[in-house]
Amino acid sequence: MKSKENRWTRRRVLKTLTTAGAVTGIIPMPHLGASMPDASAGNADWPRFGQNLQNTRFNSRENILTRSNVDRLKLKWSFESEAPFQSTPTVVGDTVYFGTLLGYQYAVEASTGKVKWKFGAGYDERRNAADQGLRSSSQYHNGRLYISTSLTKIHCLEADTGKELWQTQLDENPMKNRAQILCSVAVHQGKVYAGTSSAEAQAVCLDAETGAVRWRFYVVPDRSKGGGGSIWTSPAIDESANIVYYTTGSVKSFIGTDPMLFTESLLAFDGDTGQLLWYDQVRPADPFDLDYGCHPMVFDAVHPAREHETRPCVAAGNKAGMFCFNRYTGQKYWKVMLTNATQKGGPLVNSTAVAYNRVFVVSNSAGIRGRPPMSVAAGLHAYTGDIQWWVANPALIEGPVAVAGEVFYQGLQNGILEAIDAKTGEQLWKHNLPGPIRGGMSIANGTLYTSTGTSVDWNVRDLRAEKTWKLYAFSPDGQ
Amino acid sequence: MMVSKVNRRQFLKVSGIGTGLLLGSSFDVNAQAADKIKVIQIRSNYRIGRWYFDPVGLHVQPGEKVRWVCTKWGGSATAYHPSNNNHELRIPENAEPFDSGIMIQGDYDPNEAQAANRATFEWVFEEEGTYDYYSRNHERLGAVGRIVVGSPGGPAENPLGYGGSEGRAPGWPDVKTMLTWLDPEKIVREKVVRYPMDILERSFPLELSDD
Repeated sequence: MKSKENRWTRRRVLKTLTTAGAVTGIIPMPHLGASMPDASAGNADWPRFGQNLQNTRFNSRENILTRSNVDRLKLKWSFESEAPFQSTPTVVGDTVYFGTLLGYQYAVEASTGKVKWKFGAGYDERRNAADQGLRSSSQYHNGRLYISTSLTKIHCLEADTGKELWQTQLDENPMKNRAQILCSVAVHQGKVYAGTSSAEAQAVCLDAETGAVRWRFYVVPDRSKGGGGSIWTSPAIDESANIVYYTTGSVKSFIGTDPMLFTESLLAFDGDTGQLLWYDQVRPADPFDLDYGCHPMVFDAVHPAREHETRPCVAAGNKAGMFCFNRYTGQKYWKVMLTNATQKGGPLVNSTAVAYNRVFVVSNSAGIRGRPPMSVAAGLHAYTGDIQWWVANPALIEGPVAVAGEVFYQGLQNGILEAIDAKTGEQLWKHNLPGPIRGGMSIANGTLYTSTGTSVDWNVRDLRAEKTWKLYAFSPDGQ
Repeated sequence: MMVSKVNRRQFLKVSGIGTGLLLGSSFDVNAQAADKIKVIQIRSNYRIGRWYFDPVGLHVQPGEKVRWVCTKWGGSATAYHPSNNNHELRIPENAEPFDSGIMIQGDYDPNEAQAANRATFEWVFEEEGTYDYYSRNHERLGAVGRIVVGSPGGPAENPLGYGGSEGRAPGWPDVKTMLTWLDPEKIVREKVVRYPMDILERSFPLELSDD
């Protein structure tokens, strides 16, 4: 861990630790710090990519669909789209919000799948279809819906009507920079945190009311280097300390012995000013593309034997392992790698979650010298990283996972949608969908929502094989 | 509300289904353009952690044109010449140095990319001799190439660092290995020398320290 312009003084660390309860040992942790991002959202909603601002992808309020009835899941309705899905449905009250790779944002009735409204965010016909449209999840906040698009625009819509209130384009030249957005926005205290994938990748904070840029941080600060460092996934927020965490991707330029900061890094920013508090670069100027493809997750981990001992964590997966740090200092707590490190290996595309003092990781392994690739799902102890359960998967994963009601959900490349006991790894339910599951799933108000998308190589061949793309709603007995 | 006019049929069309519009992976390194221009691809391979030119060695006659096509964002074709970031002279002394600048990836709309001269770069080689060139952002990874125009000769026949290294751009070990392997006589004899995947191969993956 290295520190840059560190104004994170000892006094402030102590203050923050005390605020979080780590010094006093008094920590309210019903679900490892996963609070709802918006009090106006419903009881057991899923209002954003990570469900909460800590990005745990754990719905702690879901008590209708649980371990006791997950084996009765049946299809409630499905919605056929004009294009593939690659994002997690947002669920608030009686509405489900989702986007497609053709750039359409939908709002449908949660009970029937009937369309309420549809918003066209645009589409650039000159670009590869697989790099298009809405590849990120929306966030509902105070009656508004915030979305990000592959045209590198952030849109603010009225959640009830789909009427656009403002839009801001983040990349000056998306074509030249090969820029797009896969980063789901995080909206918090009047600010929208976003990030781009680009030769000039940037973390950006916008004003939630106007869309004006409040601060901007280029991942490789010297833009003339064209260094990349794409932000592939959603930032996480420590609300009490007002710290925003981003993970970054691989480098595009190898200039001398330059480590090309801040590529392949986990970065902690002051949420108000954008000041860099600390960072950890896992590999300098890495030509192997072992970048962070998984979202940072904020949680407090409890010691396996001494309940009063906790660790303030931020953890994230890259293609060479799952890394867990002290979220205030950057000190590394543990690193676990379940498979070999390759460009398409490791925890990939947000395949991680946190719940019940456990970090859930699905990790891919590339086939080497004629051997087939493989995938494993595991539950790790949040404090130590120790493997508590581990199961082999029948196919690779390329999408987010989720947890609710003591059930861990994963969707695989071959269309298998699976519910697993979060404590033991035992399979509880399985369903075969006709295409790869790329956007993961959300569990809200007694219903499991998921979708089919494009496959891992993101090329035309895979699109051709799949004729239809659907969003699915499953509930106990289909009710 | 803004509504795009792109429908499902258009999505299938744009995505290349039935049209074969996308260039990218279907590009054949041996395929020469209709006007007989010799083509060199600038490629990357994450598995071995390399950027490279393919073919890495090419023989042409004086007056022939060569086209570089960038298959990944950020490559360049830049001659070893003091005018290019103070690299040592490794092209014939009277030859004009070339530099494509940073090129974007060639899988966007081909017409626009050509118009902007960003995904491809062309150069006519007039002076006889040996030309060494590199990719600006990938030289350290051994991304160099050699073109022999007519008969081999000139400064590139010398080993890397022949004129002293003081004040010059660094001579990277992988560059030295590649240029040593790229025998000009072999290039003349074989006309096209494909990039050798095993010359600069490194162990993979790099083991991370766990401290």
